[in-house]
Amino acid sequence: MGDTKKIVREFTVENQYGIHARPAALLVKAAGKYSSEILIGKEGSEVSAKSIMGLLTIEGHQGACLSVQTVGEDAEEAMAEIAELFENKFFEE
Amino acid sequence: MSVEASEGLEELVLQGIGVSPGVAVGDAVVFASEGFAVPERNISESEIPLEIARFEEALIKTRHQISEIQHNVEIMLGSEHAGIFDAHLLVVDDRYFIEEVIRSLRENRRNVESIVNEVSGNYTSMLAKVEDDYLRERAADVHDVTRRIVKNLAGEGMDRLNCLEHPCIAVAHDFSPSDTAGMNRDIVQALVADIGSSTSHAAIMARALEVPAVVGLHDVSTRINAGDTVLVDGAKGVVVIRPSSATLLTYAQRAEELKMILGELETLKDEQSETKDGYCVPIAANIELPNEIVSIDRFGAQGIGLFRTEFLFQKKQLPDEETQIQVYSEAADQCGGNEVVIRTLDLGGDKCSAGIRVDQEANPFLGWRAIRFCLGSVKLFKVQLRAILRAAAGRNIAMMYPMISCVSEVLEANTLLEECRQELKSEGLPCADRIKIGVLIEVPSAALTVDLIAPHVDFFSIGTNDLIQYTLAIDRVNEKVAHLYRPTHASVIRLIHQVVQTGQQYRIPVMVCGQTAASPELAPLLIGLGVNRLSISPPSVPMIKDVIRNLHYSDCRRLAEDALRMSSSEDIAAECRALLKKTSPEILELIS
Repeated sequence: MGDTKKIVREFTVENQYGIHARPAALLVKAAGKYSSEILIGKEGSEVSAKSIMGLLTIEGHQGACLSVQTVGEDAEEAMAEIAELFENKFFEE
Repeated sequence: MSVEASEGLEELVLQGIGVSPGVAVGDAVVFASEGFAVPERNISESEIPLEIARFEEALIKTRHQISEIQHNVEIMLGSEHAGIFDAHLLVVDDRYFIEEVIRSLRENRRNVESIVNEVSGNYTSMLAKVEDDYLRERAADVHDVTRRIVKNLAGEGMDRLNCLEHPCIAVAHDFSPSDTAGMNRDIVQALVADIGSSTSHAAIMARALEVPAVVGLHDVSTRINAGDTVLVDGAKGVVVIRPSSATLLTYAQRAEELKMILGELETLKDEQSETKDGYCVPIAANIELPNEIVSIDRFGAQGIGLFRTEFLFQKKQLPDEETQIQVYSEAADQCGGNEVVIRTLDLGGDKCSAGIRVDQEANPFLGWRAIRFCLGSVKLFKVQLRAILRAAAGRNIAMMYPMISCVSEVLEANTLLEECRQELKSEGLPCADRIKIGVLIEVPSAALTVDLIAPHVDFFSIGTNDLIQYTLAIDRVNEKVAHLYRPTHASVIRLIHQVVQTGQQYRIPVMVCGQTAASPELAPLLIGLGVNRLSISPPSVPMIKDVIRNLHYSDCRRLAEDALRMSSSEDIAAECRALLKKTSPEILELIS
């Protein structure tokens, strides 16, 4: 087995309508590119960023603070791409 | 309630949320919200592989149907609306969802329809508990797709609105994105729903397809019987069930009148925009996107009085000089020699860009936006200034700066413009030697100091929407104070008057771009105050032109003089209305 890394970061949802269908779709598409497990959590609940149905239930409204965890060989790259989405407000505004 | 029981019932008027304007009358087709019974049965162990195979087949079929809908929506409405179906496709491909269904199928040994229904039900009920309204609406996305999967499994047709054959009013508890995406607007005359909001997909889709729609009517789908006559007024959010013949007659007359007036207005396309006593007030167009430019000719506007450039900056990749030159040049070329006024980048406040990071501010409308942002982002601003100067070589292009609040901002912007001109010259690139420069007067501090600004510009353009907002300190999208937003407030009229007077003193023309200019009641007041040109959205041009052609300039002057003396905004509004009633009663009918 290769080098397994684990990275945890926190992000605030900044786009106006939060993680609705379109941002969720972007997250799933990004997460799907990596072999790492990518989990998004909020207040105790945790879902996979590779599942759009899970993401829609996480209640990522504007201002929500979400923790993102990437675990696997490509954890760093995966985190960088997820971070870019959050930091650019999912290219919505 | 049976059909018989409803006979002889009186008309019922319901008030909901009008989300797409227009009036329609027709027979109702009611879609039962839970009319579809999901088949349920236990299965034997040997049937498990078969059920899994059926599930996979249904997923393939569903994916295919959604792709087709997405394709159609993209052709009809563009990629923005089609984007939502990306998420729907991901629901079909959701590995976690698929695994959960298969696991539950094996454990519970029930048919796959009931399992899909149960698993997706868990997700939708979780979504229903979400507190945020906008996110809660997204339960519809999940429900829409999973319902489609179940129906494909059970072999039921899905596209409800697409299966209709005769024109009707469609009534349902709610309409899903795929319902509305598939609808034929010649068949579906209007949409009526129990739930929904102006941000729901049904509303967005109905507006895009110009189908009248009223939502938020609570239990309307149980109150209307199939075949009931229903009248829908999408602008007012009114639904009349079983309208009386008197109501129908009133609406029919109104519809006929509207049609006739609109038909007549279209014949004014090539007529001059001048009053009966020969005072000419040209009407230009406000343009948000380049594809709207075709409507300039269609509605008979003279050039572009406000060409917004924010659309160029919506992508993550900022537009380079060449891209901007092309857009500005094409706009001017399409206007056949009529002037195009380009507004420099007006970002900030409620307008953000994908490629430009503006930090969250406590008061964005009073913050780092428009010209303030541009002067603080010199590199980005100069690319736009260079592009404008280059596009203006040999073309009738003018430019204006948004949200100027003091003369030093104008001086600073002009200095940058001159710098760009010198750079272009030294690079040997053709550019305009002289370009008309205007400022948007939309902040009281600018209106009160126009005499200081005048020597440095060629024209003023009053942005009434913002001027009113800033003068009255009213955020008009805040429903608690929206009623205090008054275009006829004495302060607003005095400010416009002052700008016009200073303009006359310095021989500088004054234009108004904003809702006030597009209002048939208020345009005569602006003309009376001495405004030289109006700039409005293209579809409003025929109506305002008609109003102007029925006016006497002398009446407008008198109206303005009275307004400047009056103290109550309601009284001033009433005077404006009275003049319109006298000169263009048919237009007053159209707007009220």
